[in-house]
Amino acid sequence: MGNFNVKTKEGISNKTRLQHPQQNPKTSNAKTLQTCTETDFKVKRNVKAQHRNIKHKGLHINQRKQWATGADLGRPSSTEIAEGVVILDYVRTTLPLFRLPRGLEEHEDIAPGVGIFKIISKDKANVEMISVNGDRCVNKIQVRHAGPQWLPDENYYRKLGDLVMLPKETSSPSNSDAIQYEVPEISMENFREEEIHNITVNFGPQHPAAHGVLRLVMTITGESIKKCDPHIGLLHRGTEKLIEYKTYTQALPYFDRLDYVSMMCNEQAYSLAVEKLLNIDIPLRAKYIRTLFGEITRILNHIMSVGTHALDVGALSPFFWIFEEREKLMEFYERVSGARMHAAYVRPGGVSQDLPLGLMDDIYDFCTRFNQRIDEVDDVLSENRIWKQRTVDVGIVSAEDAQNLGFSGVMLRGSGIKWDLRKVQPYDAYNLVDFDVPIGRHGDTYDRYLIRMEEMRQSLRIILQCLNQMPEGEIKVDDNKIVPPSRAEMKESMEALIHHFKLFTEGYNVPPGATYAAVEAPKGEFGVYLVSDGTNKPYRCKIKAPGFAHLAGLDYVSRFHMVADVVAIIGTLDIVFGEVDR
Amino acid sequence: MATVRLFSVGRLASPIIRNGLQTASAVPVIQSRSHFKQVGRPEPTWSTKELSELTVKTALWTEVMSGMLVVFGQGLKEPATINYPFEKGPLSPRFRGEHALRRYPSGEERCIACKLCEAICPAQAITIEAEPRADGSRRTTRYDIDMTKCIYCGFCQEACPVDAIVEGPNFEYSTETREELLYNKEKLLSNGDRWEVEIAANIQADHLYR
Amino acid sequence: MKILFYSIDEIKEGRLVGEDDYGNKYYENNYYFFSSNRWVRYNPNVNMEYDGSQVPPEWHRWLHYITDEPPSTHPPELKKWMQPHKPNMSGTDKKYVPYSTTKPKVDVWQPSQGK
Repeated sequence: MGNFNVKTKEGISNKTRLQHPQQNPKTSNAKTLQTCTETDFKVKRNVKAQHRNIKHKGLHINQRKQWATGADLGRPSSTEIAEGVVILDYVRTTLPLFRLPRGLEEHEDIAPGVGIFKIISKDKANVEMISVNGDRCVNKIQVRHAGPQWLPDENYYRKLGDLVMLPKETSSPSNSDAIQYEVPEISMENFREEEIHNITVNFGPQHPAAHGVLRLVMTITGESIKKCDPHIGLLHRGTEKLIEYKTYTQALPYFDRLDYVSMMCNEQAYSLAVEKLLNIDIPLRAKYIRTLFGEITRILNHIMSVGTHALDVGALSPFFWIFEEREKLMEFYERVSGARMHAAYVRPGGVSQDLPLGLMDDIYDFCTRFNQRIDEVDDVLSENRIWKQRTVDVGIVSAEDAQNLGFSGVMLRGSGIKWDLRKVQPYDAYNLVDFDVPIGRHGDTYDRYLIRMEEMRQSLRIILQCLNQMPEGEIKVDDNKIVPPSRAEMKESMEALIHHFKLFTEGYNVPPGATYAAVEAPKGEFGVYLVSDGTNKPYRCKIKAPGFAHLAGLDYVSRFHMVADVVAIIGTLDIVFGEVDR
Repeated sequence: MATVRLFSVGRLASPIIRNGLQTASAVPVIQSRSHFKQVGRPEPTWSTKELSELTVKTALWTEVMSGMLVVFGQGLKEPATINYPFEKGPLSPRFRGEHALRRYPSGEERCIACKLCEAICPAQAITIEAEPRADGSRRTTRYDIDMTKCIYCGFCQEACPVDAIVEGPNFEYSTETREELLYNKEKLLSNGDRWEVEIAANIQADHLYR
Repeated sequence: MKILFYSIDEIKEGRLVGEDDYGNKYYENNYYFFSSNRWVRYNPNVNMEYDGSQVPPEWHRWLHYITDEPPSTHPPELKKWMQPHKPNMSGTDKKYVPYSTTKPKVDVWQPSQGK
């Protein structure tokens, strides 16, 4: 306990008792206490001199306020306080900031850990301070070489509210003995804590690395992510609801527009679901064509994925020369379906048209060259130290987490889980072709990149097998209640014409039931849950998009990473907003 | 003695050969069994060989240099871009571009207003109204396609029993205003009259598959 | 053989395959890689107003590699109802403006016409 005497202009001595928890009477020096309590501050002259000095230097008085940091409290001292208390030195403790103005006389209780210090001597290395309690301590001054330093000025203190003591503007040092201070009214409610927030940063939706319209609201501390909240819905079109009002044929083009970099895989999932409900089996040639184009789609997607991933991370060049190959693949799309991207080619009951003559030769030609393109990207990226620094051990997903977060596809296999729908429940012609499924070891971004590269090679292998094994025959089921007859037939046969009309107006009825059909889309498990009530329109169509689950796991995966790593993680998640927002 | 020596050399060499063969064939053997292939980054073993390789790579920047060599090599290649308005990319006869209404060779318009295209259109972009003509034949009086709604799925041309509405090969019809994309029957017919040369040839080229 | 300067930034040499009714000349040189081996030189009269849509359909088919037979050697069969080609007129006063091709369903009452 110590007494704190304050001299005002009128020379009235106010006594303030400060209680200090760390300094209870038993441990403190009684002599000190006595000295302190009996000290009467004679400050007039000193203050005047000091103030003149300040004025002379052109300094504002507030700039003289010193912040003593880390003051060692609770050490009793017997030093007499020689100077006045005009300049109060505040103590910043580990607790939130308290600013103790001069008018503390009303208060007996001051929060623990807080004291008011007066600097008694100061040299280059040390500052010696004494508290109002008589506590004395020596603190080291941090030497800074940062040039001129901002010190809190008057405007700054005014912002902080009432708890700041400022000199009255009217007080003039020339005709007054001491500086007059505005002594604010103090109550304990005015002692406030300074709240410290983390910075919230918006990433996207216009950010080029956001892969479309992703908006991330990131809470960051320093440069590391505390929380990464994806805000979606900017590309929501209500596909699922629209499909409920379309016939089964009309619903097909919507699937192209879901994951718009792997179009035919989406169509395949939908077609498989409808075929399952119809309980039909499609001709072998159609299965092979679907497999062939499913794998072309996989390459198409992985080119996009790896290319843009490298682009986001900083490797610009592979993007350019690998997109040339993507252009060729889209030409194959165009030749077979008439559209470079939104093909509407894979239909329930087969595919819409047969492969044109010469297409298979050109695909073969492409396959013989594409390996070199992959190798080039491999040469540039795989061993590159910058690429490895940006990807190795970034975005690690353990096998358990991958399963708990509902990941699929490469995100799952990157963690070493042996799961591929093409292997575990083969659809179309995947049980007839031989291929390997690459799996990773560490579950980090780099392993997933390696998997994507290997999947492209395996896709080439499947494509070559499809080309070699491509059987002759029909490309649609031979049932004109489901697929329209050929045009020649339609123009000659009355029955075929009636079928044609029925199919293009009313569509076909699908037996009531519910099914879930999933394909191993390049991004993961793309599933269609289809409920039929026996009419020509789906009762419900739920689309299970892999990107949605991956984006939902982004918060978990990117936590405690750097901001720049989020870009790499978004790249490795392989998000496309068509399917996330649906 | 020579045979013995040869034999001994063979035995000495056999582990090397076998190991060499194994490293070459081990992966396919595993593949054919499980069909899953480990491609993840291998754990470092910190063997002397690996460390020395790592040291050389790190010190001499070999991997960056080889990568830069590939990038440099790409720069020497012929550019893949085409000089668009002068050179154009390949299309197929199946290409689905701007719509057109066709005529019979006699000049009679094909469309009989069966409205199949209107019915199948997933985007509901087509509007048709029909009346009997003076000669008694059924023809459309309104055939509007909202090209801003159209999703170019090609269902209309698949639905058409008389090959009247087709998606032609033209894709250079971008406009400065939206209203120019609200095509009416006259616009579609004039498209057909202008592009018929190519449309007919494309249908002819693709007739085997239709 | 003729050296062509076109589009200011490229010099290409090629065989003149033909010329269409609008003064556009078509060239081919299979030395260049595919999709760069056929090109068009637009009518010099259009100057910098050249546009992709100025290629008429018969040459469009050849220029887009749908066929290898240029109309100069395989002239298309023309019908009398066919119209001459028209480039994309958007942005000019010759642009297409939509209008209704049917009679209005509702007759608007004009106050001046009385009943």
